[in-house]
Amino acid sequence: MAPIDLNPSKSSHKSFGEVDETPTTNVTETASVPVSPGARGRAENAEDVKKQCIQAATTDHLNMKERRNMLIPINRLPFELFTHIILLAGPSISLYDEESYGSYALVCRHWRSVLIHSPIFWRKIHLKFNGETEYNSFVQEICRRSQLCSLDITIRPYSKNSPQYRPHLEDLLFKESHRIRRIWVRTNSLTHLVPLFSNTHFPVLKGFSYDGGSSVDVLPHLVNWSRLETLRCQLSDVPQGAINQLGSVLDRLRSLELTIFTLPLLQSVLRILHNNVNLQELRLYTRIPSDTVAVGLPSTPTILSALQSLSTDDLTLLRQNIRAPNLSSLEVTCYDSTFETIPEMLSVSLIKYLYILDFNTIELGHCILGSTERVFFETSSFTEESFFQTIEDLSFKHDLLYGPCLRDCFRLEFNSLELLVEAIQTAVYPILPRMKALSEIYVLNFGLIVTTEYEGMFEKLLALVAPSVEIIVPEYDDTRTFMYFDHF
Amino acid sequence: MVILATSDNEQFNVDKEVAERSVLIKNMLEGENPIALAVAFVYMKLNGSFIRHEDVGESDQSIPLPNITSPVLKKVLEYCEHHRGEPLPSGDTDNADDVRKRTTDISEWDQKFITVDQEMLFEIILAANYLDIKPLLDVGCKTVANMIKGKTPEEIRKLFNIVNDFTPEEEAQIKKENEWAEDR
Repeated sequence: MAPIDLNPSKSSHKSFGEVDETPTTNVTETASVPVSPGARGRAENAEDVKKQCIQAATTDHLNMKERRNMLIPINRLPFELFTHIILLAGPSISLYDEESYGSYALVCRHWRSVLIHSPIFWRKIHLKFNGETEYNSFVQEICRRSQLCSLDITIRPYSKNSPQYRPHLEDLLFKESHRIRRIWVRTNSLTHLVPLFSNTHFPVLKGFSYDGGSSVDVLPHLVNWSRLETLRCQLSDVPQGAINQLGSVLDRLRSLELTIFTLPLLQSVLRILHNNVNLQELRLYTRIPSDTVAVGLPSTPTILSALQSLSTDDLTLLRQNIRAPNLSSLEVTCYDSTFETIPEMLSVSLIKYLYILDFNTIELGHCILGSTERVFFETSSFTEESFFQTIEDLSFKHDLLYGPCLRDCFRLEFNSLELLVEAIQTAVYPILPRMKALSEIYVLNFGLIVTTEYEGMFEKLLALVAPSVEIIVPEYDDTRTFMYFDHF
Repeated sequence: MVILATSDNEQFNVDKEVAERSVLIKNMLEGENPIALAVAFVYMKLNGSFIRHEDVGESDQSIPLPNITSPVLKKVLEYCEHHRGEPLPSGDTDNADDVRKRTTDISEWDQKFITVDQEMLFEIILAANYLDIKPLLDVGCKTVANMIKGKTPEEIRKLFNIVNDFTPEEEAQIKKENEWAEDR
């Protein structure tokens, strides 16, 4: 394959000047009949000249467009400011609804040129082995563009029928091992990578994620990566000894996401936590049968004073063993009505973001969700008042009765139109004086009601909430059509 | 008071405290920016006047801002006046992730202030960059970033009145390249 042109503005287009050097030919000669070999040759020559002229004109036209684009204010920004703005904007939406900085390169030649010469946009490489023959040259090109930047490598699943790509993958991991910062493996098996992982030194590797099946193959090798700050994998079929070994080696973890299948493994994971008191984010999911008796777990809880975010599906086992006094984000899935004890058991005094998914009933002070009659927090170590004053973001799936405890909310998220209509009818403004945006309203079956209640709903919102609400963004319907209502 | 002279020969009398929201001017007034001083020196010499090191910042001497027009400087001073007395940001540089997290964080007044046409918006950004007024530069850059965010290349072209200057072949090539940097 030909090398990728890095400077599209100076690509291989010929200028008019170059075309002029071609000998001119009388095009009318091609109409003579019968056609002699000489005449045919001249006709072909004339056709070539014509093509060259068209190409040159096209090139000239594009060059004019390019020069015109350079006069546009945003394209007059200095390189570093432009790069900064693109970074602020984040990955763009590509034609395939996938995020990538690369699609900014499709705006115009200038944008492409800036992107190509900014290594930071090329630090993520997604390795796919789907039969593309250009694999090696493209990946090499992206590596080259990333210059000395650290790399985040994602290894996507590939067919066993494509063994020819394995050497490329191994070659890349080996060659770039000195600057690979994160590896995200999304293949079903790691077995083929084990020799590479065990023989290659990754001096700056700080993150390893594995989305596939068992991590039994690679886990023992993680002990060589003692600088890991992020670890994410499933612990099925993994010997407890391997986890214990990990626990003794990994002591710089900042983010940990594990799925645990047995109670003994949970014991080992708790030891990992014990050695990583600077952990900031913990996502722990268990597949342990609910009737398992929690025996053998440490009697002294681990105090994770740096932990800010906890996400789990079962706090029953964790609450005895973890204290997280500075937790600011709690996400609990599949929880039941015993929730009231959890914040207290975790010694949480400050929660800013609370996500409770799929719960049965819960009552938050005067704010009733569901049909419960109990007040859960009134007897806890923190008062409802102090607790809710820190909450800025709540996500509800159940019926909601607004109360003064939500007065500091900036944002509410609903997942049904009925809840939103209820919010309107409750005249939320007096109790939500600080709310500026009612955003990301996920409306199921949006298409069915758009012509009736939907429009009226906004009128009601305008009347009842408008003094503070500025923007309403109904997120999407089933057809993923985005609608924006700015500053009505 | 400090006198600032724009490229279109207008002069602005500005409180020193307001003018010093600009790190460039602050350094000039304190005599800590020899390059800016040299530029000012050359500029004033070309205009028939002389400037001494100790003259910079004195009330009867203007500081030339050859890159900034008067309408733009007026807007910049409006910003500086509003934010007078606020602590100046530290010189810490943000990494890419931190930068992105603060994208939409623009105060209400700043949002209204920066609601200007595109030509003025980018002139303000350039002026903030030249004068080294980081908070204003941030507001400008974030505003442009928010304009770009979530848009397709075609929508971005439409937004900024950019024309597509690729050949179909180039476009196809870029799309193919992007596949290797996209998660799909």
